[in-house]
Amino acid sequence: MTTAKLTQLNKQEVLRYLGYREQALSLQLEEQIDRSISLALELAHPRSVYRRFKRNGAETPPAEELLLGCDIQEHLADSEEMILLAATVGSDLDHEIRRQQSLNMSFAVILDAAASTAIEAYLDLLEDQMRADFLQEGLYLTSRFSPGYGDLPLTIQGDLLRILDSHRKIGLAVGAGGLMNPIKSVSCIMGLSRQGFGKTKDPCEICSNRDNCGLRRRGGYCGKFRSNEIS
Amino acid sequence: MENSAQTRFRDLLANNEFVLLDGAMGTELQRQGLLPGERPESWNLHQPQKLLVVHRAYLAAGSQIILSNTFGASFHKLGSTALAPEDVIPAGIALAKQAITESASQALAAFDCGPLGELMEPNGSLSFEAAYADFAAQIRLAEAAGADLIVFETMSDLYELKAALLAAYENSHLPVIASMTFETNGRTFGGTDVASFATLATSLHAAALGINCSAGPGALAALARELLTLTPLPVMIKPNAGLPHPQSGLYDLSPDAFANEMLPLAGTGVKLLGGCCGTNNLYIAKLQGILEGEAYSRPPYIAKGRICSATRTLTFGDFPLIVGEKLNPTGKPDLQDALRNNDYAAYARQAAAQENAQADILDVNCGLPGIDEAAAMRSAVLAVQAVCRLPLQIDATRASVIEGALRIYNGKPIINSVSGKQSSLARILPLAKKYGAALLILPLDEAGIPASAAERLQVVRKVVAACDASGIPREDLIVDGLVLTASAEPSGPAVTLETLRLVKAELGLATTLGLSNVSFGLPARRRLNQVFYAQALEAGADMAILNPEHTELVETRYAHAALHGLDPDQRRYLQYFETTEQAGQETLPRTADERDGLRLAILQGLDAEAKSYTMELLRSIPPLQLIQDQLIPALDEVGDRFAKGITFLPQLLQSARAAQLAFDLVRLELRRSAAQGGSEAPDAPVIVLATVEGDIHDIGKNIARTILENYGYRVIDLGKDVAPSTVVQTVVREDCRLLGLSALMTSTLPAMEETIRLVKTQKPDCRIMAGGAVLNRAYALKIGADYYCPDASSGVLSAKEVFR
Repeated sequence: MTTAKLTQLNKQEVLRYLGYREQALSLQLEEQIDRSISLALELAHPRSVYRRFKRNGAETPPAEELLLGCDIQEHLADSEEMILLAATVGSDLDHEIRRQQSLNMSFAVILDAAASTAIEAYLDLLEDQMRADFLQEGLYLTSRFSPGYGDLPLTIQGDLLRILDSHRKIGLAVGAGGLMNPIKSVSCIMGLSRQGFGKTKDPCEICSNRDNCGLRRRGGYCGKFRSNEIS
Repeated sequence: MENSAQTRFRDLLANNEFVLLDGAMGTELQRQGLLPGERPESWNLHQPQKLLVVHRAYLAAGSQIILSNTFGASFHKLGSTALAPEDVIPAGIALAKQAITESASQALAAFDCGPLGELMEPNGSLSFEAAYADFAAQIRLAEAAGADLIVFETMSDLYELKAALLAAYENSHLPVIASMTFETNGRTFGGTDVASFATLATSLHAAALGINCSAGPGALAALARELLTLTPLPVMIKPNAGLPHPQSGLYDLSPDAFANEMLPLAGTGVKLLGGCCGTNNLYIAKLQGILEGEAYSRPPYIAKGRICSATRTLTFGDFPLIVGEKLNPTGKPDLQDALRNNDYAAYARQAAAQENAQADILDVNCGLPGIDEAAAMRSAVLAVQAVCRLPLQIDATRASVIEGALRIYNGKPIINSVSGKQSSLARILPLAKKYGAALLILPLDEAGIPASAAERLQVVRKVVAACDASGIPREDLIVDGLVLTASAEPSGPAVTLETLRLVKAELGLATTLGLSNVSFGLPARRRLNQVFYAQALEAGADMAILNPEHTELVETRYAHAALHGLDPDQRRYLQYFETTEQAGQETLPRTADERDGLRLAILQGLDAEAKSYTMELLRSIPPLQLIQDQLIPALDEVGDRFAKGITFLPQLLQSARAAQLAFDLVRLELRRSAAQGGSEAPDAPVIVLATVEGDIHDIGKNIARTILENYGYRVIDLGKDVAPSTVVQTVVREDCRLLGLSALMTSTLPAMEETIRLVKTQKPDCRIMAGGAVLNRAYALKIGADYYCPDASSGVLSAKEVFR
């Protein structure tokens, strides 16, 4: 639980989720995007929960068992502690996106992009705040690493969320196949270290979608890793 | 039927003293070394001594009801572990009972039952039936193990609580305390407010209602007071020891501070008190001490008629309510198609549109010859409640149809209807009682429709007496004034109005009427309806079944409320008329050539223009030619511009919407000319779409549907999380030659592969297109798809090739 508050969303981010490439925007479309942003801010109920574990501490085993694959081990290589974090903007936005699909598909798609922007913006706020808090203790925070990035399997999702008791604490659950509900939610692992870190790795380097990625071809970057499972 | 423990529980609820519960279990076990993520229920088997210590401490502190360590003992939560509910539930209850016996206490052992840890449909993938089955099995285990009562607690989804309450009612004799957890904004994580919780749980046979977890006692005071005004049942509060510190996880209230905050709650009429996370036996002991010498009393409860969805409660008499009449297939080809094709998107659309048009309640009817009405009603209710948060009115005759809807509806609905006929009373009253639904009464019986209002009142009295005898509360009854057609029965409208007045005056019951019938066979129907509506409101109609898209009726409602003091400060009146003055759409400069006008309107996604140009063109061009020569080329141009990156997704979809509005007008014209013996629309090729089993992300599939429908294909959309067998049955039944499958998550790709494999064996001539975020061309072809659809408009290319 933290106090990070979501008060604005970046319109360029919403457009980026929509695959925007500098096309001319009609006033009608501009108005819809603005409306989607205010609606997303109104319906988002950002909530988060995190827990901190000493690596190799007494409470560590269940958390340490999540660290499957090489990529997360490398991500946490210099960390003496790790953080499990889960956050969601709640199911009101899921409902409204579903409702809009019955009314106006174009607006539904725009609202979906605004909702994605909202959860990412909330995570960024949260991360900034945590980074500042930990720095007061002389600790540095790594970037976020989520199940499904690199070779960290989605199958750990259930255990990660259960350790956080996320269903009870923030209403975030995992359904069949490791999908999170509400949809606009994020879970991740971060490292904490006294030494600080060198340059963090470019996420595109371990992303399976790097050759397919339209964003990357256009010089963009989504900030997310994609799983290697299907290649 | 009641055993001595249950009698003792009833006595505890009925007497004039407080009932002391226990404190936290989970945080106590953590204090004793339970690891994060470790299942607390495993201690029932492996650390029984530690559990006995916790229970005994609460009993020593004065707890009169203790909760077993079974919060997470569900089949869903334990399914992936070595633990079985069949072991941990009996063990947990036995430990609670053992502690009671060893302490020589009179306390009761409650089966503690928490949420299943997944989200219910439509937000998640847990179905109502699956949730029900899990709770039912747990409850049977608990009752067999000797639990004295059931406590459902920390619930945040009203739908899940409904499954739990029904499971308890149908599978045991144990009394139930139902408790939800709210945020300080008064909503659960699932969006349920205190009123909807109280309305549903009171009607579904709970013995007491509560609020637990959430926050400290102070922060729950307002919610507790609200709950006391919304239910006649005893109220329980089991708050946390304040708020947890984000780093240490320790709660901020001391036992003294906790007890001091609880005292005012006791003073407001809360009957059962205990603690949740962060509390322990010291908190309960302090609570016991501070309550000593305090007398329990509760302000009188004022009964009011209420219905609810998961997130919205309506109180009869507060404000005139509009019941949307449009979810009824009579005279509506799109809804008839929906019922025949088992594709309820049209019901969802119609529901969302009526909600936007200010309906408060939606009447749902699925009566169409030749279909399985019970299955249809069930699907329609699920589709409607997925997009719409209005309470529903279940409109059917057969008990099996009504019962199916009452079960799976996420809220407390109205049954439409019961009459004074013995057969109707015998069929409907048991359902209203069991499912706690409100009930619409038609004042007619075996003798037909009485001609006078006084005779109608007699029939109503008879039905009310039968409801009294069945234990259906009077505040749940709504009497229909029975509207007859004015042209056939000139005195009919006056009798209807008099019936409303008499029912109000003599019986004080809520009233309704089905408006539109009055004007049948007369010109200027809308004007007549409007005037009759105003008269009915004046006569005291609490609700009316009507078409909310006839805005003059909605305006009449707001005007009536504003003039009758039902709308303090005319707040809703002002709000309605402010928001309906919407910003105007962009307009095209009017062009002399309507064909170019239509093309431009579609390219730019301008709805109003697309419609007006289509109407003009239809005067001179036959509908089929308009499709071939105007709409299809415009759509091709739209698709081409999207493919070239001249437009992006929202623009493509705006164009699609404008084109769809044009298509709807053309179809209407086709139907009209076919009815007059003109050319009929050729049968459109069928395309079946589905998001594969396990996947609940369907926006991509819905986009594909929008574009395919634009081109006139008949799309049968099976929805999301669709079993391979359902897909196969549908493509075979429809002799479908193109199937579209979508999957968003890597974890659901095996389901896609399996679906493709089955279709290829059972319907080899059906081509398959596959799309979704995680798919690429190579993988799609590898698992047997014929086409890979990377974006919104590529499905059309596949369709054009298949249906060349």
